[in-house]
Amino acid sequence: MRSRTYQIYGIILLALLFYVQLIGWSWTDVDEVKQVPRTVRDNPGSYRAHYNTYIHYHGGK
Amino acid sequence: MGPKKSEPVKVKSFQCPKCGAPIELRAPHAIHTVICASCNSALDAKNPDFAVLRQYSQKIKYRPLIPLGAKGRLKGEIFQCIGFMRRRTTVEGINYDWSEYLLYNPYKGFRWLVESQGHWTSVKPASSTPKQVWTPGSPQADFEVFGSTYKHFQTVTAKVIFVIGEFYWQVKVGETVECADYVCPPHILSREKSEGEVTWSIGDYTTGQDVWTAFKLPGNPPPLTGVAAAQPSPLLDEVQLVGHWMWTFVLIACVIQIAFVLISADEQVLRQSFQYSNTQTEKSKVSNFFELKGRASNLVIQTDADVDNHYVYNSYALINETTQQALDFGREVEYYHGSDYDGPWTEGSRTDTATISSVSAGRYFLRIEPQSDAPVVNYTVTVRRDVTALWPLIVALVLLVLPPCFLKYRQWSFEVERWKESDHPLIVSGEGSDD
Repeated sequence: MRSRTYQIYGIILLALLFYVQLIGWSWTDVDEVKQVPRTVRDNPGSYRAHYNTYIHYHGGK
Repeated sequence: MGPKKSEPVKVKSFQCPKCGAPIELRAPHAIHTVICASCNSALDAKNPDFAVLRQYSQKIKYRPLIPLGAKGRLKGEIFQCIGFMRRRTTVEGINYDWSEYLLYNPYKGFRWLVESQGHWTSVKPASSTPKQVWTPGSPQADFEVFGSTYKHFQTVTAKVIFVIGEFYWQVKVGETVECADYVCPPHILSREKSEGEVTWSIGDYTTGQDVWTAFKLPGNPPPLTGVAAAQPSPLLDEVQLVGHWMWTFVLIACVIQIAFVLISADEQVLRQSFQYSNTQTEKSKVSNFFELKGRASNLVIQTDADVDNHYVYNSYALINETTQQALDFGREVEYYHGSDYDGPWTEGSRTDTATISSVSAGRYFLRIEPQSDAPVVNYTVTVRRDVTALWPLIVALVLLVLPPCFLKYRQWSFEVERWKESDHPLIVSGEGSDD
């Protein structure tokens, strides 16, 4: 019984490995933005980035 | 010795010469002694008058789980329970008792059923003297029977503390023998050494349920306690099978990884340098266009910055020129170093790598909006497509190996429990200190 469960578990893992490698899955958080204005190349500052507000923290004291 | 096959087996009945209680002899041709259940007298079964050999004062009476006279079919052969004895060994002041049932078949001879803490063993005399072998790493000599090695389990002195029924030797309460057990689960090899005599017997682990079914006993067998010496491991076959599958899956995972490494393009599509300056009015930049061809695959964006005790944070937008859709993400590069009483130290890295999965083919460019606490930062952005990562393989291998390791640990725990009461425990607990 355990060996049958392990076989199914192993097959699922291998399938996941294949899928992850196929699409190149990653942990990076990405936000999709639609309808980016065409003027962004001429005026990059006009684009409202999702990740432009950033608070940097360094040091423990 | 015994009745001829053509003769019916006769049960002999007589009265105890000591107390007059009725006694039935079930193996009259084969036994030497019969113990009267009423007055505990040991009677000479070879004497026509059943002379009293001795009388025991057995204050504690043990009730056999298999009644004397009960018949049962064990491994296709019918045996009758004719004798019961209780034996004891004392180790480090602790008494360990077990029961032994003498079974008799006039054509097959004698067998024993040994019961200890709910575990049963069916025992018969060994047909030949086992061969002594020395196994590397074994603390003492083992024995070999029919190609199987039996490892020494324990050697104890066993004393008879209670006896009732018929026996083929002049059994006495208080008689002692040196018993050595050797195991090759589910089998056990036992050697009994008494004055001038060494006997070998071989046993098979049997479940209480099999004994109850064989003798059609009411109720349930006694519950199991601990692990018996010859008890087969319920996990052994599973561990071997799961182990075999584990190696198969590990091999397949490596093949998948190698296949992707071989077919992946790992192609650099962009490498461009930029400069951030806190005096710039517009710090956002756009990269050159780059083409992504082929199947949808990942993009690896590497940022190299010359930060020194500073950071730079880049807000990226990967914009598809055709569809005007963007993928936004942010990456930070920070590098600090210094020196304190422990010596020089560093923190962070001047390189950062981000991976975007499943990016379709098309024409793209990057919009970059940097922030930094440095006055000037020079940074280079490198974009590669269709790069095979190593981490999925590592994660898969770890997850594949974990269940077999857990099963192996449980199998090992079972063996630790088995050998715990032996002369060779697998784990020796240290003595605590009084600090």
